[in-house]
Amino acid sequence: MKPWILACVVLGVMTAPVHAADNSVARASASCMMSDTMSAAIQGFLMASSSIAYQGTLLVEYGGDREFIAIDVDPASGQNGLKRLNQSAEPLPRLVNAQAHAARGPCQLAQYYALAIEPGFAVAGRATYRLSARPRDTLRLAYVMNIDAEYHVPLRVLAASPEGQILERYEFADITFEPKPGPVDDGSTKTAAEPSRYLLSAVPPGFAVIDQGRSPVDFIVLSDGLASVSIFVEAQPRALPSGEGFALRGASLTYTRGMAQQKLVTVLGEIPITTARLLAEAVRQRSETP
Amino acid sequence: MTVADAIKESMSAVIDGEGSELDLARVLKAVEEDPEARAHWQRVQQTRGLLRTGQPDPDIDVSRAVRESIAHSPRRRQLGPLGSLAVAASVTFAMVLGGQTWLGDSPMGSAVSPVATAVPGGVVPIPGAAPVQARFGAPTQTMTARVPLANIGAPANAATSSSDIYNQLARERFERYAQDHARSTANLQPNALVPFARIPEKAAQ
Repeated sequence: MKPWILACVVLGVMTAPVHAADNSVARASASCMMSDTMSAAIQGFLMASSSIAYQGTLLVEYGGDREFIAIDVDPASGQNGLKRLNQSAEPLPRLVNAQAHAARGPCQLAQYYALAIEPGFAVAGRATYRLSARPRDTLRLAYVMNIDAEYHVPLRVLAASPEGQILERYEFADITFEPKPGPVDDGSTKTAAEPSRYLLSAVPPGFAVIDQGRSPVDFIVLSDGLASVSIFVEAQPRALPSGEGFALRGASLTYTRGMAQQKLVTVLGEIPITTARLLAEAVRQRSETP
Repeated sequence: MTVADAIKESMSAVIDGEGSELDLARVLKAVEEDPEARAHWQRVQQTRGLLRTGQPDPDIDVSRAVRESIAHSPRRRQLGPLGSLAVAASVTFAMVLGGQTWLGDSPMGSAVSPVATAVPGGVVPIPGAAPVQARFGAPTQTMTARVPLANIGAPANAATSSSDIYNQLARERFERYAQDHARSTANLQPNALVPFARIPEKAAQ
């Protein structure tokens, strides 16, 4: 590598890794060059989880592991239940209860992913288009998705590391759609959670804090619109030395870093370890900041 | 250890079929040049023959025995002393470089921010992004590989290093927090159900 190229790379590394948290969302207002067709398709994909209910059979593969999962839906509430078909005979459904979030727009996504759409092959007997989202940096994973042409639900998704290693693949074997009922008032209203006693001194480009709280431990949740990550902070258990470790489950990385006599930070998300390290490094107790 | 002891060890290793190229070379040189070494080699051969067959071997040709040892050894790549040194140096270099690349500096033990050490060129935006060459590869640390943690508070030693402890902690924390993470982020992921599918069965109960 020529010296001037090396110098540019080093300079980029030293100056560009993190943005101040306040600036991370401001860049999203920039306009993007995107056709109406692509914009509509991506918008449909981003809104699909909140607008359509479905049931079917899903095959999930994590490297060497694979399992079939039956997905049921309660027609009244639209709530899904999962049954792991390879874990036990007559498995009991596990209800899924996910928080709603405002989806980001196609242009915001396009700032950090190179998006491309092309015709896709049939999946689960349905026509698809293929949406590829390749990260423009090494702070997020790449996705190649076959998305239902009518309802915009991803029917086949392949997640890969920035280096191209496939981490996870899932694909519907069969699927049926139905309109999602409106939100059901179950009598519980989400009260404003007490903010975490920790904050982030800096946030990787494109990510924004979308939730935080103190239960079960102090936590902060971030997303860039496609990649999501949760940070959990707890007291360092017993007399552990400082150190770090990680574990992978498909696209989900768990990165744990401990500081002797201080705190244990766990970063859990669909992100590369580079991003997890950046986030763990940025965790500060509120009183630590001026 | 004297040189003679080293030669005796090499002879035993060759007879036991565990000798290296270096052992063989050392034995051949010794039996050619040193009558005492040759006599010792004969005694070892006789002793082993007696133990193996119950009968003493009256006529042992040292050269033949060595040649047979070579002939029956698995064929190996011949490396001279310089070659062996080069291999050792390469392995050491690869381990040091690989370790530094993967782990970076000790995250807590260094004043240097890991931002500058562990993110080589990683955050420079690349217009258009390079195409991803997809391939399956075994992850280096998966949920299935479990390391027993006998005493998590004990000082790190060779058997249970700091990284082993923290890898185990990461697995435990995944089981503890995966449900919370899925609940908080599922609707922002490509498929809202897959984050729940990743949760291990026992952690979901």
